[in-house]
Amino acid sequence: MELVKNAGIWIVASHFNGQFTDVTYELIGKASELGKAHNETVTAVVIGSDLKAEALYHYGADQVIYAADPIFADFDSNSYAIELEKMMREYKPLAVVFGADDFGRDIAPRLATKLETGLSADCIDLEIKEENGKKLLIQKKPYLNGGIIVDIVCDKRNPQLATVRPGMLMCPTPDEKQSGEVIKWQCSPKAAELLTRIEAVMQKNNLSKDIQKSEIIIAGGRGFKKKEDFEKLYVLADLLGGVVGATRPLVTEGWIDESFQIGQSGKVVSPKLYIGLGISGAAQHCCGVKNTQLFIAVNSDANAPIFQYADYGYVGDCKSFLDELISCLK
Amino acid sequence: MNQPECIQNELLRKTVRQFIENEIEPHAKEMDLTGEFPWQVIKKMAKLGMFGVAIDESWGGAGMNADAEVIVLEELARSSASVALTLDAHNLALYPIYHHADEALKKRVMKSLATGEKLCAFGLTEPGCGSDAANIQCTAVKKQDHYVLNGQKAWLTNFSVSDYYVIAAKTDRSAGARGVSLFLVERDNPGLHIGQEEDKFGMRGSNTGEITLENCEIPLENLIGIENKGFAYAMETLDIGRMAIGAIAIGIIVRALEEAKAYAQQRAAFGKPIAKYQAVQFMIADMEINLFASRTMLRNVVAKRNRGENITQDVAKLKVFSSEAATKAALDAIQIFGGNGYSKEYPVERLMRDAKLLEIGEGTTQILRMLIGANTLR
Amino acid sequence: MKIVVLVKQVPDLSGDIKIDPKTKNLDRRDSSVVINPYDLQALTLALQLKQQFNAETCAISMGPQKAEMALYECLAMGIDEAVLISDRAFVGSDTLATTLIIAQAIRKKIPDVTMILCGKHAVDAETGIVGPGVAERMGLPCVSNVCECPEIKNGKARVRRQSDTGYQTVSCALPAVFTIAETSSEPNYIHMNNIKKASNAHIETMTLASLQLERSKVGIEGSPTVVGSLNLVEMNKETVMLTGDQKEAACRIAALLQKTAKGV
Repeated sequence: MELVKNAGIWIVASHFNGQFTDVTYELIGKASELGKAHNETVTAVVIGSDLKAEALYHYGADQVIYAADPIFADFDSNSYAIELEKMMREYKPLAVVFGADDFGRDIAPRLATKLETGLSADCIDLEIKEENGKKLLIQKKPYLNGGIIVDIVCDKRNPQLATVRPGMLMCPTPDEKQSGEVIKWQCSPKAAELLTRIEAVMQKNNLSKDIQKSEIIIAGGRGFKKKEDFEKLYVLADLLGGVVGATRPLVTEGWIDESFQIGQSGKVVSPKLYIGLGISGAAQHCCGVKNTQLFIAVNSDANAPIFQYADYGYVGDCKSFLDELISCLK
Repeated sequence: MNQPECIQNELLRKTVRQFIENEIEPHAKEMDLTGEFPWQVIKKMAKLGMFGVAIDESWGGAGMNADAEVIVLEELARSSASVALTLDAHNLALYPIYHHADEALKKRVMKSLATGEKLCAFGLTEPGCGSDAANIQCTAVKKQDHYVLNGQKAWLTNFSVSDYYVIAAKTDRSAGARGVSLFLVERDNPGLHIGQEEDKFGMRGSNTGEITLENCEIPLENLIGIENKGFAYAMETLDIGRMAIGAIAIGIIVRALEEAKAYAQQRAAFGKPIAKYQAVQFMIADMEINLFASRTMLRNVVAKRNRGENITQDVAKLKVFSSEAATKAALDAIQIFGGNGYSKEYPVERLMRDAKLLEIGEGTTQILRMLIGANTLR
Repeated sequence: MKIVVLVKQVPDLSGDIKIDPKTKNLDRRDSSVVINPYDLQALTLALQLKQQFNAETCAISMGPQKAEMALYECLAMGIDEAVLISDRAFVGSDTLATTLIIAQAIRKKIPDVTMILCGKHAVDAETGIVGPGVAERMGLPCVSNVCECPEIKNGKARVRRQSDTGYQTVSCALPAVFTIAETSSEPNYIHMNNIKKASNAHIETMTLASLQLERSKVGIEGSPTVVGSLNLVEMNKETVMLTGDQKEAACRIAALLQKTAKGV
């Protein structure tokens, strides 16, 4: 199969322990949505070793291209970027998108520098706009703690590069009927191109309850002055069968692991039920809560922005309210 | 002011503000409520070098000038006037030692005081005399190789937390102001008795009380400077103290204004923020005007002081004006806060209680007006 | 050993920030500027390395003239030397142009640099591109999200980094670029006794001319990305505010919760 040149949206797949990351699927989903609307093919590009690249077809990629070599077994941004540069110079795609993860954050700046093209990092959404015959990738990027969303474009050069934060886009449902042949990219990377070596990996193990998949979320914020008060949220979560989340300051305090942080610098969640206690509701937190059926907020400050997002609100102290709520539910 | 000095002042203000926000502000309310001396905060300030900003590097200080002194006090007062007062009291006692004590005495105490390792207190006021400093009753009688001090000192800030006390006592009872000398008394002197702490309504995180000297024997070398020159030293010191009060007043006005502004912008009445009402705007405007005036006066006094000129008259004007402005700003802030302003839940009532002291300490407003008026009519 | 720390001055975003709805930018009247908090972590590590290895340290910042305040702060913290990269020609530089300028400045100022440290990203724009971008320009390895002081031995470094799923230990040859995430080291406050000396220090300014860069490669002309429209994040839902005492409201919410939770 012959790859299209001078066009198309490319997604650079990231992977860990032989598995593709969720953000890879999210990006393919978004790219195929944009591709359909603007008549662009979606190419997923994989660099690595021992990966089942054909799986990316199930998520909506039109083409999957795979550079396989044992040298690529461990992630190294320099060797990956060198290979990607060769591909880019050959096919000159319209846009290349990465997840804003360990892969994308390190490779994308190297690739942008090599190709002397524009890159915007940590976007939360992408659009395509056609202007003067050119298809522009509109890169939606939060600025100033997420209070502002800036549209960034790279109007004079191609490819247009962006990284997108994991969890910001909907993950498509895989369809095994969609499949195709993985195109092998001939490569011969050199060991000397590896500039870094991963010596040891320590996985965190408390990711058992994935907050993004939870339909009921109980979230706490700075209104809780003591850790033991905040921890009563787990009692409420158990009563309702939900998961506890938090705002950034509490994660910084070390009260809860950052995998439970909701918001632009944490996770975007779309639970059916969300209750925020003691959260003032800065934009960077609230924009992380999407498509809820029921949004409840309790805060001592009547002017807290969170009430603008809530279906039901109550002005009061979160700690004593929580006690009351738990006793009502019991 | 030249460029390095501007940079120095900005860098200093930034540094102390960051420190204060992290290390003092979280405890400011608590120390007011409990009335306990914030030892932890004081130790951290010492570690940062805040007790010797205007002391020469050779004594362990930071070698800056009066600008630095007032910046630190203003920033402290913006968070906790009590802590500012503690530092001010320390500076006051340190001043006559630094400027008038002989080298031997300085070698003994300066370093530990400039680094804040030890605290000191200045004892001028007595139960029977405050602003009337020439009339002190405390006596120092010279014996062969020591002085014997007897008397009582009241309203000493740092009275029970200090290691050194600078005490004004009469060495010549017949000579009035010209018979006063200053002495250094060490904490462990058996003739020094630490009395009761005052239960003050403001500045509650500062440590104020009485001490008694009872046949308190001190070596001759603990005389600060020259015998019978103590009154002049004390008056010079008070000039510095009044400059400090100006800085503390400004810190309080700044805080009152910040609190009032934030509250007025978020509190709504009859469908709009109260900041949109002229009555509130006028109070805010008065705070701005008084802040501007106080700052201008302080800057003027500091510049004179840095040039080595006499500041007695001007610093008195600054002290009267800024202390009254601070009380007014705090009262207006309470008014803007309405019922909430009357509650200890909010910080503005503390500002008012703290501010009031500034009209009394280091020369009451009335004494200073007399001083200024008499000078004009001389 | 020579260490360069890249420092950016950013608006203080630690408190509540206000955005001017007209300019759609930060309401700067109340806000102060600070050293990017992650760069502060990088400075702290640099000072640890200075103690450990007697390393020479240099802070470099690109920005307007007034960004030199951040550099005076670095000097007061104990950094040995400071360079401000400032030129009207650099205004409007995006990350691509910025990495070109900074890499050139490092080559000119400290050609034999051992380590380049910077924050994992600046808190205002949160791009995190400059560290790896400078590494690419200089042909150096880059490890991002480093969270501990690097171990240095025989011209190699071993670092611990935060990864997406936990921690990794990564090694590389020196010179290298490390971007710094939260570390456990407490940043030190500036001691009062360092302020006077730092304020009187000389800060070198590097310009387009002294860096010998082409005008067309920097500033707006040298920047492929363009900032389009700015949109305020706003949301106004119909909110039912519950009144009455706490018990009443709690019971009402409990009922709502139970109903919705059942449907899940």
